[in-house]
Amino acid sequence: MITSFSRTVPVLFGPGASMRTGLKVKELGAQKVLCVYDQGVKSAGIADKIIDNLKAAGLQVVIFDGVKADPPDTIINEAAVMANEEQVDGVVGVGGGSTMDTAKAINLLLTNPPPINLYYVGSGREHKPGKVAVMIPTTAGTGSEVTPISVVSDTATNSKKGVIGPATTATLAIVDPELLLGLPPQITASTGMDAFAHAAEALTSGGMNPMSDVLGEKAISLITQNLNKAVKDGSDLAARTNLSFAALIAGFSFSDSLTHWGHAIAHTIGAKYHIPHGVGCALALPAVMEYVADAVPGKVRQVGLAMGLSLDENLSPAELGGAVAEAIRQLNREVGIPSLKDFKIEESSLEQLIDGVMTDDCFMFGPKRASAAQILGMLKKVYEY
Amino acid sequence: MAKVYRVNVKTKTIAREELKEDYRLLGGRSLISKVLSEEVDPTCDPLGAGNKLILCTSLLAGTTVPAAHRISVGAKSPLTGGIKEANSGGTFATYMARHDIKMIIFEDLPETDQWHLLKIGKDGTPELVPAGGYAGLNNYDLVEKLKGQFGDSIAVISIGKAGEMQYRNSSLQNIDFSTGYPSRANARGGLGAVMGSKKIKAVVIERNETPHVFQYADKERFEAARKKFTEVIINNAGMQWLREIGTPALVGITGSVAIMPFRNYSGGFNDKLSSITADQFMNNIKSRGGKTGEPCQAGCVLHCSNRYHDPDGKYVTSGLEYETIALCGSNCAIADLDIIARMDRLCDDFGLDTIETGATIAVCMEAGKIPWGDGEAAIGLIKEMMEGTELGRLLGQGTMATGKALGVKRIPVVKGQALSGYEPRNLKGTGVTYATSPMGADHTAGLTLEAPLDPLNPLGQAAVSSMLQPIFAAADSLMCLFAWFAAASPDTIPELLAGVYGGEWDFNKVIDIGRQSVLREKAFNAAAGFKPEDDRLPDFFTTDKAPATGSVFDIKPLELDGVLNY
Repeated sequence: MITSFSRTVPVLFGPGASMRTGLKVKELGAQKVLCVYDQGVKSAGIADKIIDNLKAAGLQVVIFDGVKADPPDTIINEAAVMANEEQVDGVVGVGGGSTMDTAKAINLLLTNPPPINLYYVGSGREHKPGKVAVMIPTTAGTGSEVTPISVVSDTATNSKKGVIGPATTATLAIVDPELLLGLPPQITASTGMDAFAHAAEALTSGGMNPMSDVLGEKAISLITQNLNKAVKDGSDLAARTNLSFAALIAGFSFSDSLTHWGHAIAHTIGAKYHIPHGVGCALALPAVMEYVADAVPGKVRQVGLAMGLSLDENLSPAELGGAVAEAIRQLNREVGIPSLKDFKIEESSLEQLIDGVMTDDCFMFGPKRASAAQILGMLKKVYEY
Repeated sequence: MAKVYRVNVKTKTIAREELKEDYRLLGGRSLISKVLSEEVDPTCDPLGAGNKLILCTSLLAGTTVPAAHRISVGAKSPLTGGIKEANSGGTFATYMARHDIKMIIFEDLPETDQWHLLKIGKDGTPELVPAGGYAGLNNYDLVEKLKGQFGDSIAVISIGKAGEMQYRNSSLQNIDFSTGYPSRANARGGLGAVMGSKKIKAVVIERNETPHVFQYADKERFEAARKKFTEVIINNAGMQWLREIGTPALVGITGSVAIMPFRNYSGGFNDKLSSITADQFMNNIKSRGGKTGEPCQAGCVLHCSNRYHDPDGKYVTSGLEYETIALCGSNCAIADLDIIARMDRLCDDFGLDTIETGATIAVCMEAGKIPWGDGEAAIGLIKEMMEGTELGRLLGQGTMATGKALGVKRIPVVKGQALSGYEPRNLKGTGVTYATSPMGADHTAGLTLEAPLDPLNPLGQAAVSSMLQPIFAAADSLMCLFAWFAAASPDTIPELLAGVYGGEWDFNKVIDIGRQSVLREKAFNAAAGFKPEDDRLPDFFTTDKAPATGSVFDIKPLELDGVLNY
């Protein structure tokens, strides 16, 4: 079959890379940028370091520090008004997925009429490229620094919507593992499992993209070997570097092949119960691997092999799915991923999630179709964890 | 409650019934699937006594919603051997609604060869009238003669000689609102043959002076919803192309990316595309006194129909649509709109599905019967069908029968029905719809042209088709598809239904009308003997690369099996 390898965000990678932020932004032609971050990044001292770096290079900096988790459309629209009033010619996003998605969505509104809601996937409305957009992740998970997607929480419908296109694709990603050294263990774990899910879902989606497969396998391998180390010792720079690289290539991996049911489940659980995205992904993934094993047994095997499992060649798809699912559950336990029960969710409420899963954009990209009853079956397995 | 006329063609009796309470929230495709599921043995002979021919109006017929009057025809299809619903605009459903008739069901087979009309008088009285003087006429002459007998204020749905001869590619035709000619077709699946098997030449409805007054559950709520719905359609800039040009506007769009079929679904680019695109079409229309922007039914605000004249300024046909240009034109490598218009006229007159006919002619070209692109020879094949020559009778059995008899390897059909105007290797989501729709290959079961996916990438295509099929089925149950897509949103259609029928509606409840219909259709087909292996495209689409794109249809069987599995 014919596939496309279309993701080409340039990346500056390595410990200390963020020290070149000002230099690179200036090289890209910007003079006045909006620096986007949240209070966590500010209190960790990372935001000030980046702002100082930008200013030292002679750039004017306007600040937007009001990013919220699961970024709401309203905040993006308000920040864009401010950015346009200030006539910035670029954005610098410093933070996790919510921050980078906010920054990329603002970038879209620098060159396209508001509001962001006009550009949701399925609207049929395309957008023009934005201005200079430099993304600097402070977690190893989302991959948003290299994906063309911004995920926005639509406040009118209380659902997550995707915006995809040139303006929601960074001009440059600056990945500096040193920025992660102070990240708390539970965030390290959940964001790491988000990246793991990107890789495993990209491998097993309907996309069948060999570049995604190669990148996904390596990401899975690096995360399996390094996540627990970084959770136990947040200052382990080698582990942080491996995880940053894994998240980066997992982001490239799912840009072409796309994530599927695990993310559809995580988005739905996240919207309803406000469970961290990475935790939702980590909990959903084992059941999803079991369920798709009959459709893509070879790919599920690749996930398992990348995790270092020895898998007998004669395993049936069901046995294969079971073995890989159990290994992921084991990794979840090692790094301290909590269960749905820990969030005081009742098993009887799972049925209410089915519609949300089936209408999530990611639901489309599985390697086969799933009925409502089958989704409920998966959700029950997620709950059992 | 609305009326149902049940006509037994054997006993020549007509029972008048009330619409059942549990049919009240069904119409069009969904009502057809319900009645067929409950009344027709799926294993019956489509042209035998066990099959029934059902005519019914769309769910919003009788209301003042724009473009709400579609006439659906249903039966077990003699072409596919499965369930079939085909609908059209025109004037027939409007006249039914004026008389508050929801449905007409024809049952059994007559014992003699005598032809009949069903006539519904001004006072709504149904009557079977001997129609010996009308048999043998094609639709244009038939309608003219009927108007001579019953006056101009009639609606007619009829078969031409193709239906009389029980051709499996035969249509029912009904009168276009703007031109007064029988150019609106319930085309697909050979339902004309079912009408022919029952020896019913036409149904004629006389216009009543005082139409039935529709009882709205909440008139105020309805009026507010109708106003909004109408405004959305009128102000929808994205539909301007339909108003100005109509569906022929698609020719350039799909042709330029090799989605429009060319040379019997070769998958290549049409090298004479510019001869049949909208520019040429509009030139011909404007320079010869033709017209676009015409409504096919009363009360429509979209106005997507047209009338096409020859170089001498004389009327040739009306409702010349994209699918006809794609199949009778591009797919046969015919690059002359005048020829295509003549083919359209002959098909409407004789009562043939232009899609099936174009696909059948292309298969003949592939077999070397006539040269590629030879328009006059193509017209000659249609005339052979009309004359009933040996070859003509074979062609009348459709693309699959013709292809097999002529030893053609590439026969573009699913469940025995020819693919419509979209190449499935280059628009994969529509390929999924072709493969999995209980109707056989048909774009109105779930066209994915507007889906936000790369049409050449298999990713997400099965899901999109699976999601769209109930939506299209819901649209085909309620109103005209174009009106639906011009205005459908969670706060328009549910509000309309709440105003018309009462109760609380949301979009999911509306779509569920379509979803349940598709599930009934699947169940009917399964009982008729269809297996998952029937939900596949012909092998050549999965093995031969489309020259324009290098693409094959690579949606896996396992994915196809999961489509319509809700």
